[in-house]
Amino acid sequence: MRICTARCSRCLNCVSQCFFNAISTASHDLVIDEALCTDCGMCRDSCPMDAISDEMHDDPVETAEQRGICLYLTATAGRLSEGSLEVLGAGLRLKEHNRQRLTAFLLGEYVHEAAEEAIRCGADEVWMAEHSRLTPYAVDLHAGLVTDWLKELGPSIVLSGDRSLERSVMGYAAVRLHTGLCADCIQAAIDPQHEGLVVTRTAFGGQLMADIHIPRHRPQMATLKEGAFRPPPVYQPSGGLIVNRTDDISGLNSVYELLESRKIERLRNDFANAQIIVAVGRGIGCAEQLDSVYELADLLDARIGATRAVVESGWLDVTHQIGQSGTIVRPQLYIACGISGALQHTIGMDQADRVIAINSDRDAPIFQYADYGIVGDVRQVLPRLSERIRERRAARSRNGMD
Amino acid sequence: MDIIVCVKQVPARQGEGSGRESVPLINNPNDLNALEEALRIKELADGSRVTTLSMGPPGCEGLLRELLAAGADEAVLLSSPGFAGSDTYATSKILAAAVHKLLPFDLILTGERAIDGETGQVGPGLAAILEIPHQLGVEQVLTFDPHSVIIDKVNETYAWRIRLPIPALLTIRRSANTPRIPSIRGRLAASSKQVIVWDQHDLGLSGAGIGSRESPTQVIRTVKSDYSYKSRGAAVFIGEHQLDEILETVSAALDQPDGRPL
Ligand SMILES: Cc1cc2nc3c(=O)[nH]c(=O)nc-3n(C[C@H](O)[C@H](O)[C@H](O)COP(=O)(O)OP(=O)(O)OC[C@H]3O[C@@H](n4cnc5c(N)ncnc54)[C@H](O)[C@@H]3O)c2cc1C
Ligand code: SF4
Ligand code: SF4
Repeated sequence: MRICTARCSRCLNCVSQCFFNAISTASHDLVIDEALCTDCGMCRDSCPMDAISDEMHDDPVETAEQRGICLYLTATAGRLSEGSLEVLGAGLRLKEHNRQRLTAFLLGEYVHEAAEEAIRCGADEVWMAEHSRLTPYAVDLHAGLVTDWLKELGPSIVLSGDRSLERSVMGYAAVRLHTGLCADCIQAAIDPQHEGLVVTRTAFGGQLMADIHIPRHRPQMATLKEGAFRPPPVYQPSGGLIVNRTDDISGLNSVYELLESRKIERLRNDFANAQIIVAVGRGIGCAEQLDSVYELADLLDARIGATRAVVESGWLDVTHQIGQSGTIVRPQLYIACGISGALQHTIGMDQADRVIAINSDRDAPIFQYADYGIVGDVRQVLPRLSERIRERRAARSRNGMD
Repeated sequence: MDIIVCVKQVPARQGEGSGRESVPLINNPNDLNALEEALRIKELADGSRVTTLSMGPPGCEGLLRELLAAGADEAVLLSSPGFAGSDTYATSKILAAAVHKLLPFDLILTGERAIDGETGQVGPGLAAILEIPHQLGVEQVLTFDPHSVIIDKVNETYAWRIRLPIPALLTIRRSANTPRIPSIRGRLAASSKQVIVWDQHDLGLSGAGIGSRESPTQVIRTVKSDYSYKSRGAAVFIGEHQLDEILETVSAALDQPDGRPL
């Protein structure tokens, strides 16, 4: 018998099981004394981490061929959450490249409509568990079930969104499956050269973008940053089926006991449906100057975004933050006002259809990300812009009345 | 209560230089919220112990002294060449080995995220290895007894009050509290406390599954920050007198359902 130390969680189950005291706990990494071991197999069967085997290599690499793409989805108010729609979109695009089966997991109190929605979007199969015990704070039930299902399904790729429950479940499952997890990915692709999934995220404090892969472990797991991926383009029913696995939670109870619950305001601004975003940077100068931003946003029926510098200055609250540690947005029009264009910010707005940038510095990097650039003092340009829009509208409605 | 607080040392100025060596380190601000929560509990529960746990380069003992000065009883630094480049999985594994050495404990507290753009995944990973419950996004530890704690936590849409058994791992939100500034008395007291340094040997780790080479996730390449994944070419510069031109072009491209062109 051998213990794979990379897998062992040091629960010490095996030690108590070994009749021959063959397992030494002297150091953190357990060792089986070959001289004492009788190969009875008791320890192997008691190990929750599948860390013990009679094979001689100490290699955590999955040798079995794992296939398929698995998506861990969530529902809000019965519908697929926005983030999950994006995960579906990303999964479908990966499938176009590797032609593998797309299976979605959906667990929650009320998910069967979301399961149908996932099928309508193109999932080949949905494994569903719908039960009042599957509340979003019952992290242990979700994580345990997802881990068991992943072991059974054996996919090569697992994707999810980046919200609280998803981060809990993916973090737990990755450790249990002894595999890698890339968090907050803003791109995902199949790269034949690197054996499957390659994801992109920021690295080293966000000054660099890194392409990351998981070469020797399966499944390759990743959480996708909300807003960075497009929802499925068209509804393309695949004739997929829903497998109801609710019975799998029978007998399982969460250790978390709810005492009180209250709905709160969204921690994220509703940028998803915004056609136009007016975003402000430190170049606006001070909080008082925001009036001209509000004015333009009102005129355009736009949402207001901000850089981290603005949020840290306390001029706008964090729900407005766009970028790496804020929201990723994809409006039709993005007006960047006094924003320098740091990578951590542009990650969040680079996919806007059109970008207008206003900055007093002609060399500001934001102009690399803009279609139109106005070099000038944002405190003068913004009122001019609002005024011009009002004049044009007035002129148009006069013409209309003629 | 025996509380372990995970505190990461991160570059002080974000977005400058790419080598960690050149930029001075600070304690990750959000992790100080976790320490504050631990110190608050310590004040309420006699006989509590607060141990901080950090994995980082040698030479950040000075920063760990700050934690001792704030009121931690013990600071442990995990530092070894073999730890360098560890990803989430490998880091969780190293921290778990240290936690095993620190047993028993009631709570592990940590921040939600490190400011150097880290993943926020070490908490759930560590809890999975230790096989203990965990909750993310904790605003406050309300009450505790020898077997359980009651916490307030939030996710994107709900605020919950939850009871859970201990030992458990909780990630503390930035908004949870205001970390205290070490007092003179705290600093004096800290000078008699030791920073404990453990390396790979001390933890009894063979090297399997840790460090950059054995981490499951591997960086293929990194690209400098002028990288733009939808390159649109540089902007066309427009003078202020040409605003109409922009408005005209942009208007045409927008589909404004309410018929309000720019
Ligand atoms: C880990 C990490 C995560 C981060 N996450 C994010 C994130 O999610 N979102 C984010 O935005 N940032 C983020 N940042 C911060 C980011 O690196 C930048 O510091 C920030 O985006 C800069 O904001 P800014 O453009 O408002 O300010 P500055 O960089 O100070 O730029 C101000 C700009 O305004 C211009 N200006 C000044 N006066 C005027 C004027 N009167 N008229 C017109 N223009 C003027 C200047 O020329 C300058 O270009 C992160 C950083 C790190 C390290
Ligand atoms: S195989 Fe049997 S004898 Fe050998 S270590 Fe395991 S339990 Fe002990
Ligand atoms: S039972 Fe498995 S996980 Fe537990 S200590 Fe033994 S080898 Fe490690």
